Amino acid sequence: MIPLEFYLLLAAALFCIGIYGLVTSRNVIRVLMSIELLLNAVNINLMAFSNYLDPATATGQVFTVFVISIAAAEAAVGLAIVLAIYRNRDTVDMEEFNLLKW
Amino acid sequence: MDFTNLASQLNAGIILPEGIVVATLLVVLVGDLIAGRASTRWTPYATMAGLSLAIVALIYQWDTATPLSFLGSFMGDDLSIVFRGIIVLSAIATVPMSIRYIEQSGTSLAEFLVIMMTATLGGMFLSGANDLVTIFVALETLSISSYLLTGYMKRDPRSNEAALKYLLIGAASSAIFLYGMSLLYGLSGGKMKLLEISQSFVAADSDAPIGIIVALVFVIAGIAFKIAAVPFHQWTPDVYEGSPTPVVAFLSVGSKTAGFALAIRLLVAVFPVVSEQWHFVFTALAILSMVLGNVVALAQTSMKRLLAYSSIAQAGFLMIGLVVGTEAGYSSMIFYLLIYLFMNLGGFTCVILFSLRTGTDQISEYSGLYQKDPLLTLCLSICLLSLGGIPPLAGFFGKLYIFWAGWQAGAYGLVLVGLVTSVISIYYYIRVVKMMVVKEPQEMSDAISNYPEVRWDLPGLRPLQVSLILAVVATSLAGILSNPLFTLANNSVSHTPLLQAAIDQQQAPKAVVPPVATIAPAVTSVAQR
Amino acid sequence: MELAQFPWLTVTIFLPITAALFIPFIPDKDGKTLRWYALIVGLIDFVLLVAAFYLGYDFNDSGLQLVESYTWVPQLDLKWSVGADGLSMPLILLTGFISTLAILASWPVTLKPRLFYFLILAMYSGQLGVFAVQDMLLFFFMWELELIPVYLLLSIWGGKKRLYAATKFILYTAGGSLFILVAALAMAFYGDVVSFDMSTLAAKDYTVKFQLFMYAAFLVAYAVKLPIFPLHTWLPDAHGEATAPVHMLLAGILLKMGGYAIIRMNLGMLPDAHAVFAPILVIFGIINIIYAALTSFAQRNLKRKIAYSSISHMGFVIIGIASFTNLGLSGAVLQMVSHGLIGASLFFLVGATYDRTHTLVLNEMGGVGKKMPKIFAMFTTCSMASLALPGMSGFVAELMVFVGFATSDAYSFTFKLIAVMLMAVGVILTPIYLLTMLREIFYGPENQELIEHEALIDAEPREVFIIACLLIPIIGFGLYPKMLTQIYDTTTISLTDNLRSRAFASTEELQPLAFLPHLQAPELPITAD
Repeated sequence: MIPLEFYLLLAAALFCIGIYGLVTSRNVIRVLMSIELLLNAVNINLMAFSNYLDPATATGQVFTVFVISIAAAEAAVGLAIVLAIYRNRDTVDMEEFNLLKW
Repeated sequence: MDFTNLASQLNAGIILPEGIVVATLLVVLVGDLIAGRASTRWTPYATMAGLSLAIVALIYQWDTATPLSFLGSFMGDDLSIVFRGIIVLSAIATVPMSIRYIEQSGTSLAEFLVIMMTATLGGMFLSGANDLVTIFVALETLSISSYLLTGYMKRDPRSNEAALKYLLIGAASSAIFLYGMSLLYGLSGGKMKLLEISQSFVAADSDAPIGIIVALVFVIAGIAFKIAAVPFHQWTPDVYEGSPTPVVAFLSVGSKTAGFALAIRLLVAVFPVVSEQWHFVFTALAILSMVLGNVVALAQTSMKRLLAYSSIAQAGFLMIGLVVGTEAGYSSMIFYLLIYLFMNLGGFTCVILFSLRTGTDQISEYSGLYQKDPLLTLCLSICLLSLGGIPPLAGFFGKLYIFWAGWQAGAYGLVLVGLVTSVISIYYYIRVVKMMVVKEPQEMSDAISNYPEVRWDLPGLRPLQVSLILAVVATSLAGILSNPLFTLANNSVSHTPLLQAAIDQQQAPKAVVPPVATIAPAVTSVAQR
Repeated sequence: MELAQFPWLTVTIFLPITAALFIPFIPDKDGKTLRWYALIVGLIDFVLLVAAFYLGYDFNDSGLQLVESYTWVPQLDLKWSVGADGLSMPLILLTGFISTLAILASWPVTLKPRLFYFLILAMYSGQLGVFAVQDMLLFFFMWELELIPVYLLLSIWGGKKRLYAATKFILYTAGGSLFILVAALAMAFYGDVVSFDMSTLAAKDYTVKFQLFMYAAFLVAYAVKLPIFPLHTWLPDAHGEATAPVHMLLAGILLKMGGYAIIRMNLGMLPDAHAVFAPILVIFGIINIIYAALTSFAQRNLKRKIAYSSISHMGFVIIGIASFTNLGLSGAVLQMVSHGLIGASLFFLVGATYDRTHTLVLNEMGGVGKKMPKIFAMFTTCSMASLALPGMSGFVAELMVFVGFATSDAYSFTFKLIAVMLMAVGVILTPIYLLTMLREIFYGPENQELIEHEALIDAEPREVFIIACLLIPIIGFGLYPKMLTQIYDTTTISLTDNLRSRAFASTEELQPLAFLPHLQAPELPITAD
């Protein structure tokens, strides 16, 4: 059986990749995708913990379902906002959004 | 297990206030669907009525014997009631501000109200959330609705941009927060309830293990984002500047209050093992927030950005109460939040009124307002001076109580920083007052010389006027007649077993027995009563 | 007896501010109703004060009289507690007297009269409060209450550089008052009993080191107000820009708040530290006297000249406080009252002159005595009072300070000799600059440009009346000082006794304390000169 640590390391790696993407991306869609990576790292964590530490009640897996559904809602809202801004500005490049002092 | 038994176990009556908000939300949503555009005449009042009913329900739940509901997922203790009350009140106050504002922008009012009530709902659940899943869902309900509200002016590129920035930073920070929660879940060996987590930490009996500290760091990042503490504040000025002003008003009070509720419950309940560490981090956050918020506010030219930095600084003052962790500390924080509700919302109402009449938020455009609109000048001056802590206004008593509590607990450094920065803050608040009152007629700005005739009979302005006057009266008198508010704040702390346990621990930090071991059973025993 | 139970002080404190709240609703077309309203309110309040003094005040009682105490905010231990002893009673009466005259002096104010009279009446209340309250937190409250009215009065009705002066004033005072709060909190939480009551605080047994810190904190706060060099720089600006009635209040009452507080807190509550700081106070007092007199000499602006002369006169108050004798302390109190009257009258006359010449620069005046004989006469009389002509109150006060200090057994002979000689230099400088000033304004060839362009009408009856009102007590106290000293003698005697017993007793029994040699043979920089 694969040890728990491997899953945690995978999750941590995924989380770091997500953070890296978050910081370096200029395209808004890519930033949104990076956030999905972060959330998926969390999901892996929760599933692994649930399977190894709490197999009886599996609350971690229930939590994962919540996370997935909320991530979907967040992505929907995010894309809607991106769409609105694209209509107004004709771009999805982060660097172009400078109406407000950063 | 039959149904009635289940219902009694769930103890669902505790979330009656939230139920009322949901019902109101549905009524407004369906009513708008049926009646169409004509519904704007009654939806805001229905919203206010529904939310007020929720307040009444909250009052009836004060000191309830069985605060724990949904098998321990939701805690309806007095602390959560106070926080939920503040959030609902801020929503009620936002409604009259938004009527005219939304109408003028040509978007639908009912949808705005529905989203705002959803955010309120999220904040309310967050104040009482007692396990990780509830916290996450409530937090996201609040956050996602806030993103939508921020981007509500969808044809205004500034509003779009504010929403996008808020969403990206918010989603990232809640993902980080969530990662911290997943670690908590694992470290506690698969526990979800806050107190069970802390019990398992105590049972493990290691001295501030590194895993818990890592989880703590992630969790604090999420909380600090929500309460806009420096250095997690970067979104605040941009979002405040770009969003519709009523939304800013709600965010600055409602959303921030929810953040503080989360901070208290999560930190006090889960992290007593690393209490020293989180106190240290929050001390640093408080000092940074007070210093940076107040200093950067000096240089602002936009009223909304000024209020954004001022709200960052105010969060710093509030954190003093959280950090000292005594009974007076928590009470002073709640008292300040109550007062902050009135003065900040009053201030925002004035800013909205001004921008409705002139279409600008620049501070320089306020010059000479006294000549044209003395009432607005008076109200805005009172609210700003109160934020600056000038007696005899409410803000003075709020700050005094916080500093009093801080000094009592021996947090001399924090109190000194708070005092010095609040003197700095007087400078920028009074700068606006000076603009409005002192300028001669010939120094009037363009916006003021073209100032429209003061009329209150336009649609939507009457409720705005009423709420403005109520807020200003409350700001002026809440200090002088502050006894009921003080009592309320103190009772909410002294009737909450969670805080009492934490305070006892604070007072006897060097006990031989690991202190949490004595707290947690005590709390659960009260909770399971 | 019912009269004794009547809440005199509370009523007199609240009357002006309550009356001020009705100002927005008074119908007023030409500005005349308002000023009569304000004047009548001021007069009623003054009459009430005098009545309280006659009916409820006993000269022979050194303790607090007319005491009232109600709990206000129990959580903060904030009490509404007022009372008057010999120290505060003369100053309370002075406040009522000067404020009423200032309202009468503001007859020519036509700009924004509603706001003006509102602020004047608000200040009236605040100033009475500062002298009457007996609770440290309440004292801080009253002290801060002063800020905004003075700020607005300076920045709206002042001269050309008024905004700079007002901002400087508020930052200095707010910065200083921060020390009051810190010291108040520190003293209140010292020991077992948490209390802000002044007499409780005075009775606490502090360590000498703690006292020194508290003394320094209070001294910074009150040195700003009094002012003591080098914290005086706001005063010439503020006084140079203020309009005549505001000026009367600033010079007549506001400066006395500093002196009063030093006697009440530094000397009354921290006697051990006073023994250490007293030589330093003397040095600062001498610097005040000489430096300000020399600077005044060089000023070409009339208002700034008189402002510096105020600073110079305040030096005597400081030395009197530091003299360790009843005579000196009594002289300091007398000097405060006397300067309140003289300063107010001089500043009023400067304002009256300015109304006619429309310039404050001495070079642009000259020879106006012929056209305005009455103003000339009054100005000369008041200047004589200011330079301490025998027969006027200033002379008695300064003489008492001189003799008190010279006979003090707390200082070595050399120290006293040098100090007295330097003080004497200051006393010689005062007539020089005041007489030069008179010569430049009134004597000499008429300034043709001034005569041609300005209508130099002589004083109107209102102005003569105001000066007469001020001169009567000036000359009265000058001829028969016991009239005033009998009010406060018992209090100053008990203060001095307490001080001497504590300060000298502790120096004898606590050997290692370094300040024993300081008191007996000071090795101070001044002796090295």
